[in-house]
Amino acid sequence: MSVLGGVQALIQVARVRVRSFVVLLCGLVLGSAGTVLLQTLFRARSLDSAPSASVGAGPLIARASDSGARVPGASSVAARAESDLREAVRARVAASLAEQRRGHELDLYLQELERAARKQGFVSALEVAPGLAAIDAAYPGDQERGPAFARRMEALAKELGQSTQDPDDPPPGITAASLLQVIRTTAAGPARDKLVRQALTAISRLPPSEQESAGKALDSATAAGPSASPPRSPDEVLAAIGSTRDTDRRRELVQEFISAASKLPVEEQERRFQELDRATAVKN
Amino acid sequence: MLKKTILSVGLSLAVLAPASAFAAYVCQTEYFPSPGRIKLVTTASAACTGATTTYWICESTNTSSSCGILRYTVPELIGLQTSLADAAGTQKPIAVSSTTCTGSSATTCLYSVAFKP
Repeated sequence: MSVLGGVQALIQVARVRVRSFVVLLCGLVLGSAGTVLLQTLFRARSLDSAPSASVGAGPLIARASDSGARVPGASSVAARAESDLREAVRARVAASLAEQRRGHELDLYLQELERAARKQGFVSALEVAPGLAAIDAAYPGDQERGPAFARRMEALAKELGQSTQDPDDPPPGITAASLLQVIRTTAAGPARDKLVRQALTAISRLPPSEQESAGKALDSATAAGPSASPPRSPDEVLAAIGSTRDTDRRRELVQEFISAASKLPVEEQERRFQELDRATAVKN
Repeated sequence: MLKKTILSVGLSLAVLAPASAFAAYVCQTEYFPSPGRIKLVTTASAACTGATTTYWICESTNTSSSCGILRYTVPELIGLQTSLADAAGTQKPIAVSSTTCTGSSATTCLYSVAFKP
């Protein structure tokens, strides 16, 4: 009886321990998830709450962040921070300008940016742009401090082994000449655009004496096809509009007419567009 | 037609390039008056990601050592700034070719920018 009681007591203790372990494990898992959630929320806050700023002078200033391009969806805050840094760069620049650092304080800030880049193992626009903005704001007429900081950060990037590989590098072994051949037989569109970018990169790496002829060859390769024909006069295009019933072809011709008519003097344009109205009204 | 024009401009600039060109994306571009100059921050990948490079594109009267040997007039700089701002918005790649700088402290300066299709 006492032996049985002892065994039951042991089982009870074991159950309690297993339950405690499970509770502990759940706590750890939830704790980690909570930390990740808090970090994500904090990150979202630090990106979104910063005020927008204008850097430098007047309407000529343009920043990539002004384009408003974003990764859609509120749940993709972390993804946005990783795949599109423009908003974050703007926020950091604004924060940096708000501090109005000068002298030793500015030097410390620049060192802090350098340290941050070193710690994360790479230099990004999140460190360079705010540093440059802070220098511009502190010393508006100084043209040497900014470049010196930029050079320091570029040297650091090199030291950290950051790759500056060209995204339009042609595949290994592919020459400018072979790219030109492919371009000639590829229809206009994103695929051909990519080939053209690769060809431009390949051509720019040729010896200077070969660049000009290769550039002309690329020009003629991209000019191949329907767009290569010389532009027609508005009258010719209007006649073509009148003689076609194909809707898509007519739409193309109307665009061609508008393009041709737009090059005429303003007073003549109005008359030409009235002619277009009449031509398209008859068909409709 | 427009694409062809852009390409031709790109080619003519690329042909002038004395050094190899690097495809890049405009992260930030800013015009400073008197003496005119553009501060151009490019990144190796789109949307301000990847390795950064900073260039100063200068007017002829600018004496900064960070300017390249090729200088621009103010109208050219303003036109270029407009195109660079467009490239920042569209995130279409540009090809930047480099040359030596006027000063001894800087090692690489911008020579030309080609706007890729």
